[in-house]
Amino acid sequence: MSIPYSKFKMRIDELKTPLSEIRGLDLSIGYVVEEWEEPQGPTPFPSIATLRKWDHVLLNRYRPLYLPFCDLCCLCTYGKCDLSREKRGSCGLGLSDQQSRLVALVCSIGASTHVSHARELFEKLVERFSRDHPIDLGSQVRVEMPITRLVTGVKPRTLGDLEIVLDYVERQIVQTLASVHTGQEGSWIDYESKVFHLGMLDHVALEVADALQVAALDFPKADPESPLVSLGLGVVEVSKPVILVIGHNVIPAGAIVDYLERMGIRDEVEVCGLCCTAHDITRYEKKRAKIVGPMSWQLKFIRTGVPDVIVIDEQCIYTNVVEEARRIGAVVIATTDKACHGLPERSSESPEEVVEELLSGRIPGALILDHDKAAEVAVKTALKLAPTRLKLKAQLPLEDVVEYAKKCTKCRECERACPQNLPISHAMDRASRGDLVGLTDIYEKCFACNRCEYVCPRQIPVLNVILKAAGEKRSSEVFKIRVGRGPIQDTEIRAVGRDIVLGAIPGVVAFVGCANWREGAVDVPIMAREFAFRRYIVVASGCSAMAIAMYKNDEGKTPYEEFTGEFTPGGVVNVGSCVANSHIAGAVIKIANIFARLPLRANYMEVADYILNRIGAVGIAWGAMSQKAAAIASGFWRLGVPVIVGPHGIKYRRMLLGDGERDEAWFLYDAKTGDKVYGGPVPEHLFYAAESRGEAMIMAAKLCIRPADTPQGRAIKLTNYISLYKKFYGYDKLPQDLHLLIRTESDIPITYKDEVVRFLREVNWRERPSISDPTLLEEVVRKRLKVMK
Amino acid sequence: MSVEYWLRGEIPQPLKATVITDVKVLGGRIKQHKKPVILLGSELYRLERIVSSDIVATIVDIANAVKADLTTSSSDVVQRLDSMGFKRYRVGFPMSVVQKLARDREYDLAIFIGFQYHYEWLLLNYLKHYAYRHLNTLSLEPYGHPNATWTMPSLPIPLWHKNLLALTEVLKT
Repeated sequence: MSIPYSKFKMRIDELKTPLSEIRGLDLSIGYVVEEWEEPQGPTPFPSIATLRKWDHVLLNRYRPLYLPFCDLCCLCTYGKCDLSREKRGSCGLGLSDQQSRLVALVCSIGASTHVSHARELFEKLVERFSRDHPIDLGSQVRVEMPITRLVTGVKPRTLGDLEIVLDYVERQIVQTLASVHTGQEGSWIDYESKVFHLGMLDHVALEVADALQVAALDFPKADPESPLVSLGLGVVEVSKPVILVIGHNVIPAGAIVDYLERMGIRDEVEVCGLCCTAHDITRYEKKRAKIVGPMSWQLKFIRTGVPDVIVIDEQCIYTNVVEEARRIGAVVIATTDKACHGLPERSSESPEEVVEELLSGRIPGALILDHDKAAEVAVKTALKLAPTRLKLKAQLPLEDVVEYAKKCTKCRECERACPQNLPISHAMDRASRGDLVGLTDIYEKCFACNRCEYVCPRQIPVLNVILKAAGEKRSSEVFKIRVGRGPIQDTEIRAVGRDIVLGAIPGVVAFVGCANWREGAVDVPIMAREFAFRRYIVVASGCSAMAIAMYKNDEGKTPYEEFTGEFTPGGVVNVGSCVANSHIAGAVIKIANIFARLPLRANYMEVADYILNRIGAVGIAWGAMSQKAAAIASGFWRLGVPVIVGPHGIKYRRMLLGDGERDEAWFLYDAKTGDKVYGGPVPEHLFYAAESRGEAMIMAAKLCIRPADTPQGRAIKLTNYISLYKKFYGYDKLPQDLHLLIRTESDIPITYKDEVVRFLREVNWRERPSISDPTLLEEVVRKRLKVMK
Repeated sequence: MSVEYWLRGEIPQPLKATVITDVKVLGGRIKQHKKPVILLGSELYRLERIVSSDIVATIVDIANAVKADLTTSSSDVVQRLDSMGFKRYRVGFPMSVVQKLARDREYDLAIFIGFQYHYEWLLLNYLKHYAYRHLNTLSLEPYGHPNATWTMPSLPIPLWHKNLLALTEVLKT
């Protein structure tokens, strides 16, 4: 345990002594957290090495396949050091160790960003609602905050109870980050263990952040029928003053909506958002606020000239936003000291003075750390600025697109700078002849990083040209998304837990993460719909949840209108913003707790072992980009949930791959007998970068397979694996690793029985017994055997 | 452009590919190897669209000329290989393929074509560091790849296509 906590609390209503008279004194020593009925588990407040054993078990099976993004180390003045092949740096570190070290650094950044977000929410919301405000996440959520309970052993009841949890996470991140310093950790496996630790801490921070806002700001509380709201570049009413909120921390955006309501002018101003603040402002307001799109839609929207005022909070903000706003005559209001953007601070001035300064153009924006004041300034500025900016809301005439395209010399500098390597020159060539199809195609895949414009020797505003060419497409982007619902109900878990564990529900597929999609947003809804039709439970969060909305079926319905929002087979569940990812991890933990009755309290290893071996869940972070995404993924790995990333995710420096042909890696214990038995290569990988959507879908189906599947469950999962494989590669083909996944003849899917049996004969397949109670932990074996005696 | 690697943001690595601009030299390098394998990426169709040509057929010609196996995860490529009656291929996901290339020593040359630039960049870097004792790598992309052992130069795509066809002829002789 790394944080001791005390139950000492005293209240003195009245105390008279010869020296003084005291009334109404509250005295507490240490942290005060109310006890709960469940006995303390083995690992409360785990420190770096507490779960190291579990990490090593995982890492000996899922070994890193290193994909160095840089062959050098330049972190200290010994360097630069050449680490290529088998060389080591001056400090003694090799290339593999260095990659794992960098992943630890990346995850430290991600986890600290989330905990910093949570801390800020904690301080603001406790100030506003008090420490005693109850954590009520919905009447159907009795097991609230399962990650926090599992990791720390604390069952928080009030906002104030979360302080000990935040203190713990912050201390652990500092401890773990210190390991990255030169001359500390020296082994890849222990760096990877620290990566897992940071991921686990990150999940706790996510859960704290979302519980705070759900409980205090009255977000939907595990509501499968949360309202549908508008999403897309075409949903904003440009005739009104427009306030665009960007980032992840909802408090400033919420203050804007509150101010508009107080003034009785909510209908006069458009409030729209990008990235997770957009999710959370719709969770807060539930009706009028609109979502423009995921984070990579920032320049796509700002360049339209539509926003009058841009209010930024924290994380994933385009960092040249002040300059971009200046180009369209808009102003920027920064609201956190983590992202000041060079703006002058105006927290102490009167709102009228700041509005006047902004309107006069003397300052391009302001840093205002008082959120209520920031809201007032944003609204007043938008109301006055909007009428003067109407002309700026229509950019670049279409004929200019052709003229600019004619200036292009096809030098391909733009393509060499483009992270997507898009064929811009070719599209410009077509556009110069009046054919804009190439540019429109590029628009779909472009995430508006603007690198093309910086390198163009002819100063062509390449991004503007692409955006203008796709103008019609942009304005037709009008979709519906279900507001993030927050946690999964205990009753929903009870209804599906058994079928998930036995395999009758083929799996839970979670679409999470950022918007760095290779083929644009469309891949995500295509995958989500496929799995929903196949009766998987589909859950989503963050930018991926937005992407799912950006698709319409033949009837014009988005997946959120087409499928139920319940956590049930065939459901498409939007849990909310990035921090709501905690509800996805929370759902799998709750399956172990509610269905299997495993103790939750500080019982991390046993629960993670259960999840890895029984719960067919997989994450698909198709556009994962950030350090936060890396930390979130790491939390899932330690918990036993594999994650697939898209092709850009390969840049996370290493994958964690199992090797189906390394038999010794796939032995585990049968907890009923204590015997070590072969469990098969399932789930085969823990972290995997797919090259294409088809590959990701096939892999996702495969990674839902678990050692504990019943024969019927395994057959259902294999049916999906085989049919997806056939769908992409041809109906005469079978996956070539089937013999490793079929334990007994009862596992063979009836639909494909004849051809599978033929295949098994060809490869000399032999039956291997299936295991009903698999575990990787000796402790679990001992526990089971003790119970049986 | 031709002897430069493709990406403008490329940071020079200590071990860099040799850019081969002469297709005869390139053909010679390939022929030096006894067990080549060609990895076809899922983005081959983008190149085909630009040059309006059947590049899969060209790769099959190369594979036949040097008796190379093919491996791909592209459903489009698989269908076309089937329609051509080409049998010496496997459906393989790139991550698993490079894992096996490093482990099994089944091949001595891995030839890459049709991948997303950064994806191939990193697959090649894995092989550069962890399979170099038994495996050389070659990029046949129109984009110079620094992490291969050898790479074709960064060239305009029509010119690259011309070189690819010329290489096929060199290998057939």
